[in-house]
Parts: sequence; C-alpha cells; structure tokens
Amino acid sequence: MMSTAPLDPATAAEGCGGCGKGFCDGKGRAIFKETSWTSNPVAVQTLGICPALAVTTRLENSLVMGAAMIFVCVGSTFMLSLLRHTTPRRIRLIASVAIIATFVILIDQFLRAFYWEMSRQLGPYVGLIITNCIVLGRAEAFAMQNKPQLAIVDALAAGIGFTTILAIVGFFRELLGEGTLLGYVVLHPDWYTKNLVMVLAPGAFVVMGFLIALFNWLQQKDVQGS
Amino acid sequence: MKDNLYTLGYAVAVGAICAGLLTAAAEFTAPYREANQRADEMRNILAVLEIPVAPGAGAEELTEVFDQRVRRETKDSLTVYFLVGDDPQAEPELVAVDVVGRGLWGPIRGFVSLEPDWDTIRGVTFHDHNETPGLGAEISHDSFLDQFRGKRLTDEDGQPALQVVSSGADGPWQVDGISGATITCDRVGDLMRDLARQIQEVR
Repeated sequence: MMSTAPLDPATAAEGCGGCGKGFCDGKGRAIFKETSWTSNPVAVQTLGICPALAVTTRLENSLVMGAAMIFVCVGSTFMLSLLRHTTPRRIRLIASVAIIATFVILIDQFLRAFYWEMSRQLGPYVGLIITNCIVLGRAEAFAMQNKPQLAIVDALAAGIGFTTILAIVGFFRELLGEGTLLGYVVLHPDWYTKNLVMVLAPGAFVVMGFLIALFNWLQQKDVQGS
Repeated sequence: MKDNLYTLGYAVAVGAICAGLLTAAAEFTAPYREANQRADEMRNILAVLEIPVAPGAGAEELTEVFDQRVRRETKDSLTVYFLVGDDPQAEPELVAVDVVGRGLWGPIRGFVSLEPDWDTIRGVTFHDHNETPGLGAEISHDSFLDQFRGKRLTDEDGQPALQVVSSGADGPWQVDGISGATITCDRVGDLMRDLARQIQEVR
C-alpha cells in the first residue's frame, strides 16, 4: 500500500518546482496522507490534547472547534508560506505567532458575534488555539519551507486529522454521556442510564486511549501489508 | 545595520497589518456582540422572574416577552424589574434587581429575584464574571445558585445577614460555598449583603 516512502517534508518540496497545478502530481496526496493519517496530529503525535479533552463533551462542540482549527491552520500557514522568503530569520517565531493570533482572534470574534451560545460553551479554548502546538508545528516544520499551495494541503490535512479525532471522541462522549447526538435523543433516558464518566475528563482519556491503540494497530497492519 | 532596519520595518509592518485587521473585525462584530449580550441579560432576568421562554429563543422573541412581562424602573443606584402579571394594577408577585460586585479577577454581575417582601430570595443568576473556570466560575452553576431559593437577605433585626460559608450551611441566612473558590464565595456574600443595604436605602 505504501508505495511512497514516508515523506520527509523537505524532500516533498523538491521536484515540485514550478509545477503549480493541482495537487502537484500526487505529491499533495502523499502529504495529505502523511499529515492526517501516518502522523495524525492528535492520535500519533499526541498534540492538541488539551482541546481534545476539554471541548469534546458534545459532537457539535467538537465540530465547531475543528472548523475553527482548520480555518486558523490553513489561513496562517498559507500566509506564513507566502512570506517565507521575506521573513527575517531572527523574528520568524514572533511573526508566526502574530499571524496565528490574528486568525485566532478573527474566528473568536466571529463566533462571539454569530454563534454566541457555542462561543460560551467553548469558553477559552478557541482563543487557546494560539498556543496550539499543531498550528505552530505545521508552520515551522512545513509552511516555512514549502510553497503556499502545498502548505494549504498540509494544513488542511492537519486540521482534518484533528477534527476527525475530536469528532470521534465527541461522538462517543455525547452518545454515552448524555444519550444524544447533536442534541437529538438517541438513547432514550427511559431505558438508558447516562454515564457521567463520559461527560467528565476521564471519559475523554478512555476514548482517546482506545483511539490511539486503534491507530497504532491499523498503522502496524499498514506497514506489514506493504 | 541594513539587516536590522529591515527586521524592524518588517516587524512594524506585520504588527500594523494584524492590528488593522483585528480593529476592523472588532468594529464590525461589535453591534452583534452587544446584541448578544443584551439578549443574554434579558434571558437571565426572565429566568430569575421564572417567565418561561423557549431555550433557543432569538433576540426578537426575548425582547417581545420581556416588554410584555417585565416593567423596568430605576431607583437610585438600583435597577428593578417588576414581573407584570395578568392584572397590571396588582402588586407584582416577584421583583428582580441587578447586582454588581467585586469578584476575584473582575466584576461579578447578576440578577436576584425577590418575593414581594423584598427580602426572601427566589432566584439568583450570575451572567457576567471572570472567575476562575472550574473553581470560582462554578458560581453560575445551578447547583450553587439553587441554594439561594428561600434564603433571606436580612435577619430579624433588619441587618444584612446572608453569608456564603465554607461548609455546613444551616438556616435561612447561609449557603454552602465552593471549595477552592473561597475568595469568590466571600465576594458573593459581600455582594448579597450590599444588595440588602441598597434595598433598605431605596425602600
């Protein structure tokens, strides 16, 4: 299955010079798979655990948090990749953080204005995307060395990888903890006893643990199969 | 030297562009955020006055119910919200007042509804505060707020008496505090006793 060797971001950039079209002849797809699956930010690199534990009590919250993350990740890495040749090395990190923070505050203001209830439920965690290792990690490890179109693919992959994990955790926690999905009653309170553990933080740890185990198992099979 | 100037110029440019963008965004969303805040206040007043509203009610619906059922009056420093019953001339069954007090990190704002004796508490909400999430912020949870129902602001001699105690609350003048949030709870107690004083001045 793995016809391409695990991608080093530096080599991924080579041989892509000036192609400029679409996914750069499969390069984009390989990058996408690498960032979202093989080294999934949450399940493999165990980054972004804080929001993954904090906002996943409901599926809807997970999805909105994921969408905010995708927006920030794509927007900021695209900008940073555009500016990669002009940014002075010495203030590289400060510039990155300033740009990431700008995108975070934009999405935070947007949520406060148009999704007030949701923004209250997410509390400080949208603002905390500024300090999220996934965004800065993709900016430093990838966007700074690659063309903007590839940086977008990479950031999308990281964002979608993050959102998927959050959505899976949120799915199980809301279903088992409250018996609902996206607010609709699935497990009726008449015959289902709500599991409080799933609502509280330990539930998130348990689901995350199973997910990481599943990831490891699937990826081992993937390697052996090739 | 040239390098330094470039770095400085670059930093200024990035900072200026980001700041400009954020200012524009804040300006643009300000009216929406204020409307949300007002709707949230109305929702809280209606909640302490025990007027039912649909959980997902929008700002317009809230305003309509609010205008119909609530009469607002300012008495000195106190804003009072009267519950308007079916007979507008009758004595209001319930009054709500807004309360503001010092918290741990910033002001605590809320509403308290009182029986017609202006002393027995019916409901309390704290809708705006900056208390520590997970500790002080628990003051806006029902488990804490529900304790206030039926408590009294002043004792038999008319002195402000309501207290938030660390444990073993007993009688009509004590409610249990939250462990790990002693300062916040003390300030909530201060706020309730201030309210008792304010009410005495007004009446």
